Amino acid sequence: MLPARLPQMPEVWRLESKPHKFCPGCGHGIVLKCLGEAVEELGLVDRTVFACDIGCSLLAWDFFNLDTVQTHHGRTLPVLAGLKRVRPELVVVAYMGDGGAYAIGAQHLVASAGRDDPVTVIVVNNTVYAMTGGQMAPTTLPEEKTETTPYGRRVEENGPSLRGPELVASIASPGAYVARGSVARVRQLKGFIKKGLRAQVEGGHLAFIEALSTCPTNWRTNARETWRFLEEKMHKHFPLGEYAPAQAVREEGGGAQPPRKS
Amino acid sequence: MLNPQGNLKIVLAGEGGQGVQTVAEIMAEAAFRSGYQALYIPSFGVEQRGGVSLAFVQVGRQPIGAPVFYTADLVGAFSLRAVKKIGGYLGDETWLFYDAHLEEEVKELYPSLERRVAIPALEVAREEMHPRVFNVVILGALGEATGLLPREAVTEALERQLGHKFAQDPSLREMNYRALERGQELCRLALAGEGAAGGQGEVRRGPGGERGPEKADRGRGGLVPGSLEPIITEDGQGRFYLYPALCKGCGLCIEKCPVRTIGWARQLGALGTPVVEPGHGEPCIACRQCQLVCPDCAIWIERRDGDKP
Ligand SMILES: Cc1ncc(C[n+]2csc(CCOP(=O)(O)OP(=O)(O)O)c2C)c(N)n1
Ligand code: SF4
Ligand code: SF4
Ligand code: SF4
Ligand SMILES: [Mg+2]
Repeated sequence: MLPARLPQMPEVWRLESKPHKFCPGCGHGIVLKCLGEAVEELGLVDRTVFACDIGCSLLAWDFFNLDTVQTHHGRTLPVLAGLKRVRPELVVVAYMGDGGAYAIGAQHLVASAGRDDPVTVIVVNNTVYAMTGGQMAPTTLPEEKTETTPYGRRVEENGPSLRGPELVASIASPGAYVARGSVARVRQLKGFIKKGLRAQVEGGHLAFIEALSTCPTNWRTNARETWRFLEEKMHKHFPLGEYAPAQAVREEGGGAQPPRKS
Repeated sequence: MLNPQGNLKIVLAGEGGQGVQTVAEIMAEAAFRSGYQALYIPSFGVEQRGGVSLAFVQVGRQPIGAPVFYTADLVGAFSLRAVKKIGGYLGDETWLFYDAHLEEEVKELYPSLERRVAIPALEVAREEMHPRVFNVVILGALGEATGLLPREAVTEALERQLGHKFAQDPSLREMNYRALERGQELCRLALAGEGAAGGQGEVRRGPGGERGPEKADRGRGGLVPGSLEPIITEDGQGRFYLYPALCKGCGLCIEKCPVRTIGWARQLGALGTPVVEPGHGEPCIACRQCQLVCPDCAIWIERRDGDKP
């Protein structure tokens, strides 16, 4: 074998399924590169289970040399929360889109954040329902044109654009890890994913990482416009960084206390 | 002939219209009728471009836990795309049956695979009967190869599947039976030596048998040699490796290069669109931005001075 001639691809990427099924310029590939490298660098390859949702994330059903499950839309998190309860030695990664996480699966995200399920969640936010043709998602930016908002998202009608990490941090327990990265900041994103894996493995906590991503197919953008939309519009609306969980929700002895009547 | 201890795991792959799903269903039916546990599940994949379908069949004495599996005991592949697609299901012990017209490609793709069996099903069907009974020739050959399926059970299952057509045109029954028989003969001939690339004298080991833990299946088997050759271009401080088989021509790297040295090349890539090359701007500073952002791992930058960046 001539190692110098093989592509620099994480070993855990399943070579037989490459080139992968994502569109040209799709950010999913970059996020999965970060995840693959993170899992390898932490030495977790042999016990990691990858789970994808419905949406473009499902195109990764044969992406890794890892045990992989694919669930119903929005149900990836509870499936893994269950798996983790019966096989606590496994490292479980829930991989889903913004629609899966914040629309149809929002109940599970809230429940898992509340229970502090030891699952590492990666949400790929491309501001649309990509797989179904680019309809408006909870994350669609104000004024952003989509298949179902041809004149741009009107905040008065559809509400503002949902910010996932902020939502999760506001209900997450101490010890949980919450961050937002971007495929335009590859090293930072990989660092967040590594911390998110360690929060599950070492701390037994929920980890939630949103990755701002690209969807040139539904955005109908060329490479330059793709980066511009991500870095100028999305980065502005969705600040990158780590989000501390709101510590107040759990007091000593566990469990939030109902507010007292005064 | 092939004499497994555990359950026999079979993958069949072919183009839509070749009839591999019918073959798989008949095999499972025949096995079930012979008192075995049997399970068949088709897989049409999710890729829009591919017309290859896979069929997973399991037959044996043990209860069957899951419909799909990683490594097959017996693989049948009957088109070039099918042959390329089944790489991941091949293990060291797998028998690969394929149509004889694919001999060159199979040799090139899987040179180290010992148990290759070429069946001239297409030729025999076309010359002696009708191209349409190609899949029944295959059915005969694979049924024979399993060593598990009594011929009467296969015939009975064939009748259940195609009996309504035979009723309309009895000459079809004769032709299909003949195809089945020819397939069985071709298999015996091939396994007796001619056409089998390896495995002579050790046919008793056959598919099935004990498998290692699932982890053993996680390797990179099935890597297609030659397809991952890079185009290597030296530019400034960098040696730019571009893998056309991976590059989808998205242009993300072009926009991220701080010295704008990356531009479109004449060579076409994975999707028939142009790949990229350096040499279109200032010399490369080996910053690896392009490598970092490529969603397809199609670029690798090596520093020409050998230093780590
Ligand atoms: C229960 C259910 N409801 C709706 C759908 C249709 N559907 C498929 S993918 C999708 C949206 C996916 O969007 P997102 O989660 O953001 O993933 P993306 O494709 O953008 O990566 C929807 C609504 C479905 N498959 N199942
Ligand atoms: S539709 Fe968008 S998110 Fe889906 S694979 Fe294509 S670019 Fe990626
Ligand atoms: S980013 Fe990768 S896939 Fe896209 S054009 Fe560049 S090398 Fe090709
Ligand atoms: S390594 Fe940096 S300078 Fe060289 S081609 Fe890539 S992005 Fe451009
Ligand atoms: Mg989406």
